[in-house]
Amino acid sequence: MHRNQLLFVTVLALGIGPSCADKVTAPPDPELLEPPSGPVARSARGNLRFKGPERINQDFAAALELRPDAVCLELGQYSCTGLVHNVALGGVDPYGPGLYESSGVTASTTPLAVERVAWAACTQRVDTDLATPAASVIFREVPLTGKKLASPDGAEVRGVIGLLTQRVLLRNPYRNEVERYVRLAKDIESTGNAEPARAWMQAVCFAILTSTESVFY
Amino acid sequence: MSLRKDGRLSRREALKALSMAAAGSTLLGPLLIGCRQSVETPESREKLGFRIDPLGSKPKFLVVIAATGGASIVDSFLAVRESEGGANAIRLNTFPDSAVQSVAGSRLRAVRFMGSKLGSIPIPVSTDQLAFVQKYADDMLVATSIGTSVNHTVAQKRSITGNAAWKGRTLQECVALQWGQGMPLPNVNMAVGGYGERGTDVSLPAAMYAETVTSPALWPLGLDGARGILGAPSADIIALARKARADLDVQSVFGQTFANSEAMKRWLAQREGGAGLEAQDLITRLNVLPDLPPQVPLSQYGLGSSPDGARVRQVLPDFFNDPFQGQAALAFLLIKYRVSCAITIGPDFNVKLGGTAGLYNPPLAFDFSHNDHRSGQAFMWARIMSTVDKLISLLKSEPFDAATGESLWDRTMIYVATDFGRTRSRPDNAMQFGSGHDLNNGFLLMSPMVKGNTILGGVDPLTTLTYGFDAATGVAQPGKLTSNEPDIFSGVLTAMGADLSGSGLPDASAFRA
Repeated sequence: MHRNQLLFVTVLALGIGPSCADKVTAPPDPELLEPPSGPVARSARGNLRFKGPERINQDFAAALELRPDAVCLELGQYSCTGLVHNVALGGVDPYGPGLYESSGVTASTTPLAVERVAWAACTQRVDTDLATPAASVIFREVPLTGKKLASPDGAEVRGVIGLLTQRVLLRNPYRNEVERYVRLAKDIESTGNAEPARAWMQAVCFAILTSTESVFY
Repeated sequence: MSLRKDGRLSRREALKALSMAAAGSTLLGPLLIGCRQSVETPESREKLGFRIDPLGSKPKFLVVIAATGGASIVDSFLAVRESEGGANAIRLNTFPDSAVQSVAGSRLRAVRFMGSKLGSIPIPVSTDQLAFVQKYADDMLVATSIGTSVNHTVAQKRSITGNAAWKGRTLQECVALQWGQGMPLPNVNMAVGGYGERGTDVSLPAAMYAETVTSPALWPLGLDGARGILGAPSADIIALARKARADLDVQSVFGQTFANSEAMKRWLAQREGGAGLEAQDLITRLNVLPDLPPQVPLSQYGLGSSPDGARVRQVLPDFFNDPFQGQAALAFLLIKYRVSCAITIGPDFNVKLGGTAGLYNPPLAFDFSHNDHRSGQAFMWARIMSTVDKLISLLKSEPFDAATGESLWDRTMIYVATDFGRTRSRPDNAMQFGSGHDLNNGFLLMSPMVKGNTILGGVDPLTTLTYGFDAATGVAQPGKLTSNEPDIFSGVLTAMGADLSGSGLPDASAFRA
């Protein structure tokens, strides 16, 4: 074998090797951002844009590693963002009713449509991660005691919050966010829910996906 | 009057002074109030509640039927017989005398049409408007009109704004503002093009603008944030998740940075309002669909059909395949459950196959008249009348107020809006011909609230063009051919009893019952 070829194969082996043997580990305890101590400067223009159906679908799919065409299907068959709630989410429908451009503002039913897409996406991610821990994407290695989180304020839980925040909002979480979602876990446990760990995973995923920071740009 | 020497008034003088003061206040009072009203703007009057019914007042409902493409009034209620048309009758859009039927005790007319095909589409067309006119003449008002545009989208929008008659608001927005303040979605719009556009008055509360619905059968699924999503958590968990999100949204750097953004404020208010929609179980109540697996597996997803579903499906059996029927079904449920007070429905420009005739909707709807005017108008008018008839029958069957015996129909106005009229010329004696767009036309209003069995204005049989009328008195004005879009706009609202103070709209008392 030529010397260069040998070098190439060695580099390739080194590159692939570790990933093939990669063991699913809990997300690391995130580096927390500190909330600003004083008032935050207000945007003078406040020119926020709602993401709309395509971006929401793509962003949710990318963040949770879901197939874009399977993020949300009403009654298991009608695309939420492409058909049923497309216009409610700010989309257009030129070939049907001749709706060539969006009104440019969110409608009364838009928040509910976003929530439906988020619940559909989050339940899929949680179900898949819990069913196949070895291939879990987000909710991995979270210690459970029966159906409960073993430690609602443990490093693994904080790690999941951090990972979700990074994937959805593309930044590390603030300290108060982690604290609030840990409190959410405790609140859910106190409801007597039969599967509080699963419910928390769904709820924290939902809260981050449907936050204003997630759906506007 | 003079003072006594001691500077005091005598008893007689005192009484005289008091009576003069009283008379003065009587005379000046209205004058002063008038002065105050004259300096009030419509906005300030709205804030004082002048245009808003007091809480608990009875709602009224407006259904705008968007007769897309140009529904010609001389192909229906103002049709002209050949024998009336003089020498030009053979080259104008007049009908054989036998095709134009009169209704006893009414000036409204009805057209009967039979043709072997619909333009180039090989399906027979056989329609008769007589039964509809006989049934509803007492609730029908036809007002002649001259528009200001023959561009479809522009004309459509002007038919619902009266060409910006009231600050650019649509009729639906005016009605929503008047009667829809407590309703979850006061203004729902399922129509196309200019009929689906917002008005240009940006000062209205966000909820008054139309909620656009393009898929009436599936749209109710979006009226709950989680029901019907398999595996979604229970309501108490959802509430906790929403609470955590709300807490953090306000605290977040993003939330604080954009706290003054209109989009953010609107979003937070709409998110808050979503809980109201869920509480009314509209995902069930407005759902016309039956549980029909595998296409519609409602029960498998924890959902159910509306308690009125079976009845509505019986009256409008093609609700799933014919979009216009689906819209009418949803319109009825929106009114029944007091979700909306302004609803807009109408056929679109697309061809839709199906039904007993093999065709629900011809391409371009009424605008198919370019290809074949007479059969296109006959087919489309029959389509409009059939669906309106079904909708009215549902509204009549539903009590509104047991104490007064009113049905929903007694509180509803149907305004058949259309783009414009059609050109009147035809090749000599042609029965199959195409037509263009024309400003000259008329509108149909239907309601127990309108002055029924009425034609405002008229038609000149020698030209088949309509002429105008005085909107205040109803007196016909032969020869008047000037635009009257604000009269129609005002007429709809006047007949409904809307508070128009400060609007500057023309007096349209002639429309009111």
